Amino acid sequence: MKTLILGLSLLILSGCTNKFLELYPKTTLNEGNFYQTEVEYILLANGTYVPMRDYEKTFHWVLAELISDNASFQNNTRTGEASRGVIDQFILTSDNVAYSNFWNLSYNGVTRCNKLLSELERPNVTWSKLSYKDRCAGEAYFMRALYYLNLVRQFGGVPLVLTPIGSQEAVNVKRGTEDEIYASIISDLKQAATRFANARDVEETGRANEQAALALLGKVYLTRKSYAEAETTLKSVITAGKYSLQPNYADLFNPASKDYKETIFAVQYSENSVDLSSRFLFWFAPHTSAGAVTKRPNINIIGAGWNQPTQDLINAFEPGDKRKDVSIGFWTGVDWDSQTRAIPYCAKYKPPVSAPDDRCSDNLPVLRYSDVLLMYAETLNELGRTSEALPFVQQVRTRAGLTNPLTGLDKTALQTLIAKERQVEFCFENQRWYDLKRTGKAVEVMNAHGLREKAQKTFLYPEAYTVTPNKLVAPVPNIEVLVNKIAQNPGY
Amino acid sequence: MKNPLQAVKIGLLLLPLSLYGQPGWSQMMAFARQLPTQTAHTTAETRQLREVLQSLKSHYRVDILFEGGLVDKVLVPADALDFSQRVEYNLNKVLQSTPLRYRKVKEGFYMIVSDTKLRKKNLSAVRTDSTADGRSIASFVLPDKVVASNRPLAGLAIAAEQVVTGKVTDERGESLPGVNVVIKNTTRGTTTDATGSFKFTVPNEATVLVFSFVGYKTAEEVVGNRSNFTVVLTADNKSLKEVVVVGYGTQRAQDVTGSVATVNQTAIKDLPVSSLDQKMIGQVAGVQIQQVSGAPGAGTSVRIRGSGSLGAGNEPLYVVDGMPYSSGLNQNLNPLVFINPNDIESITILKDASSTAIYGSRGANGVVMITTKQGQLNRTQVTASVMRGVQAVPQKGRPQLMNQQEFVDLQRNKIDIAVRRAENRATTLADYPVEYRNPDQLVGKGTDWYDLLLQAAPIQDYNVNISRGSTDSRISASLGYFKQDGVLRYTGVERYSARLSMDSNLGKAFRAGVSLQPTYINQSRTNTNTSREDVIGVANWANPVLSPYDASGNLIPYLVSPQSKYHSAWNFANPLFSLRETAQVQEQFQNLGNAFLEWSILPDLKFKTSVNTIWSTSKFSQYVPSTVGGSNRPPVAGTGSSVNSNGQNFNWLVENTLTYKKAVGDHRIDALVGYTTQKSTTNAINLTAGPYGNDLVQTINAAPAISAWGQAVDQWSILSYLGRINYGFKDKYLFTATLRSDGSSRFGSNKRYAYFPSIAGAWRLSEEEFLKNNAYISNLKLRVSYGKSGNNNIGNYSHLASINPGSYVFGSNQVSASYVGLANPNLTWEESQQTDAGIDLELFNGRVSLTVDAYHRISRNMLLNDVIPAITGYNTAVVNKGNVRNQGLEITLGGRPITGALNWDINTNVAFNRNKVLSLNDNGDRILSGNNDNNPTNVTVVGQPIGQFFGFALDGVYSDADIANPNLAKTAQVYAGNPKYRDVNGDGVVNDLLDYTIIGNPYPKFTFGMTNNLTYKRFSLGVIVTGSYGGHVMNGLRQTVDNLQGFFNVREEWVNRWRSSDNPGTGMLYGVPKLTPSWGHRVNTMWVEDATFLRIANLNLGYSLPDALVKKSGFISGCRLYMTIQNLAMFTRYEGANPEGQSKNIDNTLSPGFDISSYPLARTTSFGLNLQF
Repeated sequence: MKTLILGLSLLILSGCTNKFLELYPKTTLNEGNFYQTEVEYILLANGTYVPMRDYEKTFHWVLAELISDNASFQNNTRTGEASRGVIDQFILTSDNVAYSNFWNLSYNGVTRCNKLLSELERPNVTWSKLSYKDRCAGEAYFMRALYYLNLVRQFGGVPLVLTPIGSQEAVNVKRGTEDEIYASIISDLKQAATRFANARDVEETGRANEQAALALLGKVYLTRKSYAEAETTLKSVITAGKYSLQPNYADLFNPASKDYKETIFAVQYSENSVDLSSRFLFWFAPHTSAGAVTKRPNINIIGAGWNQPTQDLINAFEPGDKRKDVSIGFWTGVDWDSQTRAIPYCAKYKPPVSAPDDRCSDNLPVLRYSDVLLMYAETLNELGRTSEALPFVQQVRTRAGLTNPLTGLDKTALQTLIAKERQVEFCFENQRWYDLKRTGKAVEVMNAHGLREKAQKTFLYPEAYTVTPNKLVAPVPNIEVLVNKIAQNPGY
Repeated sequence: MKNPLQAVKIGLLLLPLSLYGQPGWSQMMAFARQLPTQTAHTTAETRQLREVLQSLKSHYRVDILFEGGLVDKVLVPADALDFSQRVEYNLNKVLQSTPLRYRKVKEGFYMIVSDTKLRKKNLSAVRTDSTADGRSIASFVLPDKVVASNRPLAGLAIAAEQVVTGKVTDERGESLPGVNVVIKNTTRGTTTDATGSFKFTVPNEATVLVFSFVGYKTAEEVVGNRSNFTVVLTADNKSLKEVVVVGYGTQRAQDVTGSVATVNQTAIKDLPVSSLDQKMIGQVAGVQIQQVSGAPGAGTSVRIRGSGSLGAGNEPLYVVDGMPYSSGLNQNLNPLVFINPNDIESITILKDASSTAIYGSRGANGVVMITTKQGQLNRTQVTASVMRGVQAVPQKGRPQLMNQQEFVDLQRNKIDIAVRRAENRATTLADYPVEYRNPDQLVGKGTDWYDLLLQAAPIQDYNVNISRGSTDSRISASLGYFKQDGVLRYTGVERYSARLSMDSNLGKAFRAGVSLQPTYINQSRTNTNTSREDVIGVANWANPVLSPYDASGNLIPYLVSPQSKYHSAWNFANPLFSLRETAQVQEQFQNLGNAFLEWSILPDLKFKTSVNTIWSTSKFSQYVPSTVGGSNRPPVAGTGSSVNSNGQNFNWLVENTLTYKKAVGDHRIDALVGYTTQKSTTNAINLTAGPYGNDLVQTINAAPAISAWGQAVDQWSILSYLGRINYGFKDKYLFTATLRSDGSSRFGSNKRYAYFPSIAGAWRLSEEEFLKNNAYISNLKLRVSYGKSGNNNIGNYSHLASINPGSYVFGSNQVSASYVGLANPNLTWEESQQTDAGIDLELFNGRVSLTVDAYHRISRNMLLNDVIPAITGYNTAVVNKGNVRNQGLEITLGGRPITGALNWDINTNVAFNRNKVLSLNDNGDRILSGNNDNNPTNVTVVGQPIGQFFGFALDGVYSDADIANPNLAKTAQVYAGNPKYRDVNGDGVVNDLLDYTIIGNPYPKFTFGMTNNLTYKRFSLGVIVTGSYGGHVMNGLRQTVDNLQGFFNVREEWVNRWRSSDNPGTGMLYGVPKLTPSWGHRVNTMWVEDATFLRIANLNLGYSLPDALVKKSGFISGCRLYMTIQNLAMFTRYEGANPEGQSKNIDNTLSPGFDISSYPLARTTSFGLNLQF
């Protein structure tokens, strides 16, 4: 007995104590043994798209479309004005969760890109094809550029973070200037285009690619009014011939057969799970329409009615424009005030194809070929080559059924036409607000829009639609002012 | 009561007065050692027996009772004593040559008797052996005919005025031999014989006899004209608990060097509650137990000496029969519910670092040691108990909301503003919903939604315990059934518990034992203290004009509030309907198993190996039928959904310890070394399914799809070495040193091991010559300790950067998508260094006892979940920074102001703790925590206590003049009548978050408890009072019931709201807002309420049936009936249901005291019956 116990004790004492204490999570991976082959890097590259998917689903349309003259909301005295409604009415405050959520998700995306780029050059990684490495790098540069582009277009100069940082370093990072941010975006997009060029053999539908990087770069140049660079960049996308207009505008928005002919880059959704899905129609259908619009009567949409097309937008469509019926639907029924009328709603996004609930698969287009054509036309026009620009505008209009030839347009007239063309072509694609800001028309257009809205909706507050130049830049979320100790934008 | 504390203060003041005021307090118990010593010659070879016995008493800390006349002039050999041997050995040795023998009356108590018959008959029994566990076996049976000497004490003048006889028994009617019977104020007396009888001559009728016996309360009787007495002595538990359970062993109370408190089981045994933590409320100084929820089976928040941790929890470690059991607050299901309180023998609380350091990385928050009942030596006992009661929610704390007319007035106000805004005109009656047009017809409160949810709920508890022991083996078995229905309908908990333990001697050197403790729980619950959308939340704001029932008396599932073009209100699911239909059932089985083998290698050296296991399996299921809607979410057919989860946990512990106990001369040493390993594995699977086509079949098979699923596997392991040395010199100077080394899987390889040392010393002044025979001070001990313990509650894999899973889709190709979490390779143990100085004082032979402890605890390397700049990609991160100091004072004062037929025991305790954050993260940033409507509710800053309340300072409402004043800082979109918050940062704009400031302190200035036990003959009366003074609670529901946007019913006070510049109301209550979202319901000073309370926690009235009556049954030996009222009364200014309420959804450490929709605490009236067979 004595020996048995002593033996037992010794056995226990001499046991592999280190192994006993080395426990790793069984249900998740961990960094300790992660970076081995391209599989892990592809996982990280896929991850860079995720925060954007999440913010496009819930917040970006509030900050880029609802805020503009294109969209308003079906009045709802219950849930109407909290966070989203005030933004529609241009009452912007630094405590609005739409801004803090957008900020958080954007930097979460940036961090994912930074992390991927910082780990990409590890030695002893097995790559079955080096083009995978280029593709991963291209995706990280592209997505980082896109996150920053949306950030800078919303908030102006934001903290520029290009490597993974901890909380201590973060406090020391102050806001960069707009120029610094744009310089970084341009550099990233150039890098992306180069790396994607080496990865053509592993291109996949839905992933960012060389053309997406170039098209976005063109957009950045146009935004920066670097017209010469914009011209060559956008032209290269056109001459590459990889993308072309979808003959039928309606086919762009068919979740059952998604468009990859004209759509250069879109945020991708699927009905497979709640995380993967979008639910635009369930936000946008009239909240009084129950299941009539969404075709899902078992899903409650009492908090819907957002992104309602404004009369301004409806009026912007020329007679005969096929895009109008694709973009705007009307549901005749009881409105918020118990009156029956034809209530407009955004119809670009469709009910679920087969999911029993509110999981939709509509993608959110970010770059379309028609955008490239219109940007190229705008660039040429700004360069004074107005007549050269006209065929590209014509191409987009013809597809929309507006076949009347464009003649006798001077530079200003074409500017106006392109602006209106962009308004209707890309309505509810989160372009309008950025276009208004980019073209310097925001204050003028928004105040005029505000007057019309107030005339129509007597219940609007007097403070609504007080659009001043400083308010074109969004407020930095309070928590960041506090924790990150960065400066607030003036006027908030 | 305006100031509930006044009563306590007075009580505390009165206590010493009443002690001094009690006549005859100095009579004391006439223990033999107080009897006068007569001088006699001693030579070098011999010593006086009396002297020898005295030295044995003091050396072995036992009581030896003898008659002066019996031992006087008896001499024994001077070298008879050998202190390395047991006391029995020495007693035998010294008595060998005398006509005297000893009798072991019970553990630690011996009586010297002279009887030759006894000697002959029981000589072998007198030479008692010891069992392997060190307990002595006194298989001593006193022969019936034997009568101890009853002759009067030597030197007593026999006046023969009056002869009295009598019998002394204990509470159960068993005879008590050896009881001292002394004439008060004299030393004259006798002792009772083996049958408990005595015969005695007293001077006159006015004589007062004092009956005293070790372990029992002293009784006094006036002789009067009686010649025969029956005296019942009641057990004095204070003296019985001479041995205290400490980590990895037991210790004599007098040897304890640390701050260790034992919970008095008698005071709390009949409390009608489900778990031991609820019973401990108010019992121990420095142990703050908050009943955060009144739900059956819900957990409590337990803090020992304040909050030492920011992010790793502040709950103590529970150790059940040696098994580190659980720590952490679980509001849904209290882990302690699995321990039937009736199975508990003792509870000890280790408070200072010298006693907790032996638990190393888990000891920082204190340790609660729970010992369950074991079979006892040579005793067979069967007990049964029955308790039944009823619970009801007191009126105090129920919501005080607007009545129907007031509510309608508010709604009409709101419509007036909407009409003015939309159409710039005055309202007409037609603008109001039909229901609101005739307020005169709406009389009274309307529907009391809160009351609708409540019921008078039964509670019941049945227990049977059988214990039997012989010299060789002991067994204890018990069965229990407990059922508590909730005062909130359709909730409740049911427990089936059993316990079996046995241990047996295997030959001379070995002892082995096993125990099993299976328990099954079935709990029906609902979400409370989560948000205004849970059933209690809704019941606090639901429209009082609407009826919950339709015309035919059925519950209406979904209530549509009256609305109009200009007015909408929140429609809501009928809370009673939701409660009835939304079943949440938790079923859990748990078994605690233990097996041990003990080997006495040498008489002083023991090796023990033990295996403890906890096996539990749990099942949670919930089905939300499609008939249940939500706020503004009407029920829609075909949307039922279910959540199911199943989990298993297996937790094993292997311990090997070696103990060595030796006394040599004046030295006494007690050493321990040990090696332990423990590992826990949890595996759980959860499935969310829906939408169900109909609600007919609610199991997973009827679901069209599993919409979410998951599996969690969690493991941790810990490997430890431990050691302790207790050293005592002359029983005056005591030292303890401990060391534990812990290795834990929760930390990275670089930081995996840590050492937790402690030292302590105590000085028993009362053993010093100058105090030894002090008439007043019977015990005085000074203690001081220092040590280090840790906190490892950081989750299992925090040191690793996780690769977080996700998914994305490219075209139609779904792919996995990952991102890397924040790693913290330097994550390490939270460390707590505590210094404690204490004093234990007993006066007047234990009549008054006082324990005072002062402590100073610094917790370093705090594991905290810090809010970090979002540009890192994350919003929070767990970091190892920050130091927190807790220092405080604990005072426990006990006493027996009245003894005798009427006996009064009182125990009061008060604890002061001050918590201060010494440093936080590197840049000293504050930590924001809590969440109410997306705003933080608490802030932690350097120099202040953890988790101060954080919000706007409300300065009233804006007047017209304020609005016109351009220099006054304002909120955005402001009107007269809006709430006026202070521009704290002085930037000229009142801004959310940036202008928040500290608006309250969640920590009380002190907490207190008082337990009174009065017995009079067979009656007993117990009162437990607890409370806390100072500190605040945040009434989170005010976000809703102080919210005038027109959706909710609000507190009645809002009748006095701002209505116009001419009619500004109280000046603090804003008007119906002209704008939404309104600033009216931001976190502000109004929500912070005084948390001071005084609760009469329990009142207990008991009666023991007379023995004669009981014994007639033939098989019952004792019977006690009692009635208790739990939560008899609560005095507080807090408006909510529970000043200790704590939201389930937010962190209890960084956001303490945030009450939102707490499950109310019931007042329970119960009746019980305890039987002994």
